[in-house]
Formats: sequence, structure tokens, C-alpha cells
Amino acid sequence: MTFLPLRARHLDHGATLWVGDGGGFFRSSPDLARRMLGQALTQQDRAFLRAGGFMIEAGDRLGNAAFLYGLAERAVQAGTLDYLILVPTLRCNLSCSYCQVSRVGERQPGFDWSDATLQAVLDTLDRLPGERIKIEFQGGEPTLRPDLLRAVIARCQRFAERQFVVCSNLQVIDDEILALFDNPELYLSTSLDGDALTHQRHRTGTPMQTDRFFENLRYVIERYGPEKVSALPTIDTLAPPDIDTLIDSYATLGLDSIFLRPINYQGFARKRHRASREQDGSWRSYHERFVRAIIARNWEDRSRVLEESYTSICLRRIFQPGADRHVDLRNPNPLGYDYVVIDHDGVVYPTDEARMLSRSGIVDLALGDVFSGWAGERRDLLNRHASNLDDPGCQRCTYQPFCGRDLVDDLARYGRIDHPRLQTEFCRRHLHLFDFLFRLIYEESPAVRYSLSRWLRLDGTPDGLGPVYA
Amino acid sequence: MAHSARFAFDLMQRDTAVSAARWLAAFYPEVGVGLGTDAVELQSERRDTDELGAIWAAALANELLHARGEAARRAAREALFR
Repeated sequence: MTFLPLRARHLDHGATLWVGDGGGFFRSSPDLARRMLGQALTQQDRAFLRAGGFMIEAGDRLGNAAFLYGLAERAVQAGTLDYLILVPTLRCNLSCSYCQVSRVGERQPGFDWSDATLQAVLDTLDRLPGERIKIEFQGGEPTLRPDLLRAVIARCQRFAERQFVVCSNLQVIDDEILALFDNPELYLSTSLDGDALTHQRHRTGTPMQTDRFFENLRYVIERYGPEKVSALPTIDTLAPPDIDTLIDSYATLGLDSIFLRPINYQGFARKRHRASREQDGSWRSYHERFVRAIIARNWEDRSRVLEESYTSICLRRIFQPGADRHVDLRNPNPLGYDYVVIDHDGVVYPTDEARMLSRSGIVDLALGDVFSGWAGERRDLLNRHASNLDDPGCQRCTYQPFCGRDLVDDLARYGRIDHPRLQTEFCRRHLHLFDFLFRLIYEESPAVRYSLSRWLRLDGTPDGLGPVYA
Repeated sequence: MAHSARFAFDLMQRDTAVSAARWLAAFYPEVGVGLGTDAVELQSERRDTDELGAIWAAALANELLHARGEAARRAAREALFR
């Protein structure tokens, strides 16, 4: 029997998008769908579909092998543990209204790693079998304990490939912290919500703290260059900042990547920003206008390339399977294997969001702890739902090959993992985002093609990015 | 102005059409779906009747492809992930 591993979606006037299970895609007029329904595919249709791997005739072993290869290329195989998010302290010297982890006060005792926890973390590092390691120091504010960061970094020297990221609010950078930052294998990540007034309203609270943050941010960018520093804005969707002002805030600092994030429905935000549970059309419209503003700037000034990071990640998911390990958008998304979070008390979580849910008292998603391990029944149970291949909504979704699975997000918003997938915020967000991306891919605009090609890291700009079947 | 379009289906197509109509409401939230015994009616403020016709064709084709490919896809998943 002939098998068509293909899904269809109406995109725009006169345009139906077809996506194969392996992620190959093309656009056609709606007539192709009508011919398919009337069992009236022409010889030309059949030849086109066969050539693209969208039609496999019975007995076509090569076609079937290519189909399986396409599926395998899209499927994530979790390797050994090589990415740890470490929380050496939950203490913080700021008090942001939407703090996702419900941090504790700077002087509160009992929220740092104990000596035993540090030793168990170091022992865990010693046991890792791989040649590479990535460690992200989260908090609280991890620079409150530079001694713990130094101990971990020193223990990682045996790995051939090392990368460290310190997620800091940059309120304090003294000589001890700068000595740590001087490590060329270490990168800095911070939050920058826009201009000084917006940032102060959301995070720093006082003009003095705001000035200190911007002074320190400018200082580390000057000292190390913008490639060592990344910043992310958190957007209050009820009062989003002016788009050009937000882009200017980044561009003037030399920062080219902006990861636009609405407030995460976690931690303190669950109480103080209830609207963050669901994003509506206004957020999606804001995001589109933001991306289009960046496209226009890139076209006007081709000496630098700005990007909205998540849009770029999703774009690369379409064209470059396996090129990106972004853990919020992979499928299957096995939890507790190749990356874990170790909290301030040694408890191990599958993701940072899982840690936040537990801190908020919503559901305990701890997998175990760093002393006795985390492989067990709880991890197995979570991973039974870590794929989008078995969900009836995802099975019908054109974007399934590019999309991921985030059951922790479903738990955060709906308290369950079997909420109808198409009604989840995760799904609505990505359905809209991929619709938007495919409209861009097929847009007859040199400016759009120029930006998309840069975000795909292509050397040149092709005449067209999406195949069309007339 | 609201647009609407009615699409009849025969008995042979009924199961596929009913399933397509149900999923259509989830995949195209801007389109209202009314399902009768032998027809489906689509309504939208944003999409004109031509587009509603294209949406119905895509949704129906999608459901047909899903139904016909289900066994092959299941076998493929088992082959890959066993």
C-alpha cells in the first residue's frame, strides 16, 4: 500500500503547507489537497511526492529506509550527563517581582551548599564519563559564593571541552568575582528588561541599584567583549516595552541576540503576575512586530546581525535537524539523563522549571539527590510522557517534526501532563511561531530572506528558502 | 464581516470528515466549526469563503493522511525506539 508520511496545513490565501515526517516541506496550491481527496493525483504529483520522500510505494525498501532515517535524524538520543545547572545558593541581593525561584534574602542562613553537598557535587563530576562539560551556575545569585564556583571550575579541568555560564544580576563585581570572570571558558548571562526605567521597575528597585547594574554591565562588556555576555529581557505582557527602545537598549551595548521571554508562570510570578499563565494574541502580535523590526534593522544596517534568539532556534529546528540542543524544544525530551539541576540543598531536578514548581509547593518533581543518585522510578515515570510522537494532536500537527515536548510546563500551568495538547500554552505558542516562520520563509522579500539566512548561519542569501510545488 | 461556507460529505467520508472537523477547531482557533450529519459549516471573521474552502481541504487531507498512515507510522516508531 502506498504510504504518504505527510501532513497538511492551510497557511495563507492560496497556500497549503505540506511537511513530511522527516521535516522536509513544500508549499502548493489548495488544489493538491483536493486532488488527494478525490484520489486524482496526477503522474506529475506522484513523481514530485516520490522524489521528495513524501510518497513511499509498497516494496520501496530504499524509500522506507530514507523515511526512517529522516525520523531518526529528528529524534533526540540523550547522551551521557554533560550539562549541569548548579544552584550553589538560593540567596539573592535583589527581589524581583517575578522571581521564578522564590529566592531568599541575602543574609538568610541555610540556603547555600553545605560542605557535604559541595563534596557530593565534585564526586558527581568525577564520575562523569564524557569528555565535555557545560555548567550553568544559577541561583539565587551565584556570585555570592565565588568560592563554590571556583571549586567546581577547578574540578572540571580534566574535561577536554569545558564551558561555564554564570547567571548573575551583576549587582556586585569585585576583584574576587572579576578574577573568576576572567576565565575565558566562562560566559556571563544576565537579565536586561529594556531601558533603565523599565529595568528598575521590574528588578533593581532603586536608582542606585539600577545605575550599578548598568555600570557593571557596560564594564564587563568593555572588559571582555559582547561575545562573552548574553542578556535576556523578561517582558510583562500587560505592559510590554516599546519595541525600538528595547532593541536600542541591547544594540547600544553591542548585544546582538535578544531572547524575548514573557514572564514565566513560576515562583513569585504565580501570585504577582497571574496573567502570565496564558499568553493571548497581543503577546504573539508583539513578538511578530519585534521580529519584523529586527529584520528591518538588519536590512538597513548590514554591518551587524540582530536576532531574536528563540525565533532563530525554531528556524534552525526547521532546516537543521540535530543542530541545536535547546532543551525546551526537543523530541523526545528525556528528563534526568544528559542534563540535570542540582539545587542548593543537593536535591536533583530534571529542569530548572521543575525546581521552581517544587519551590512553589505545586508539585514535587525532585528525581533524587546528589548523595544517593536520581535514576529511579520517578524519572522513569516522567519519561513515559516525554515524547510528542504518541499524542493524537501532535500526530496530526504539521509542525510535529520541528516541535518539542515540555511536560514540566504543562504541569506548571495546568497541574497535569494530559491536558489536551492543542489547548496548552506550549502548543499555541509554537503553532503560532511556526506559522509565522513559514510565512517569513515564503515571503517575497529580500530583507526577510537576508535575516533568515543570517539566523541560519548561511554564507550567502539564496533566492528562495522554501520549495514550491505549483 | 463574518464569512461562512458549508461543505457536504458523503457516508463514505463521514468518519474522516467528523474527525477532521473536530481537529480543525483546535488547529484553526479563528475558525468556528458547526458539524451536521452530512455537512460541516465553517465560519470566520478573518478568512473569506475561498480560504475556508482551502482550510477544509487541508484539514480533510490531513486527517485522511493520518488515518491511512497510522499503521505505517506506528511500525516506524517501534522500529526506531524499541
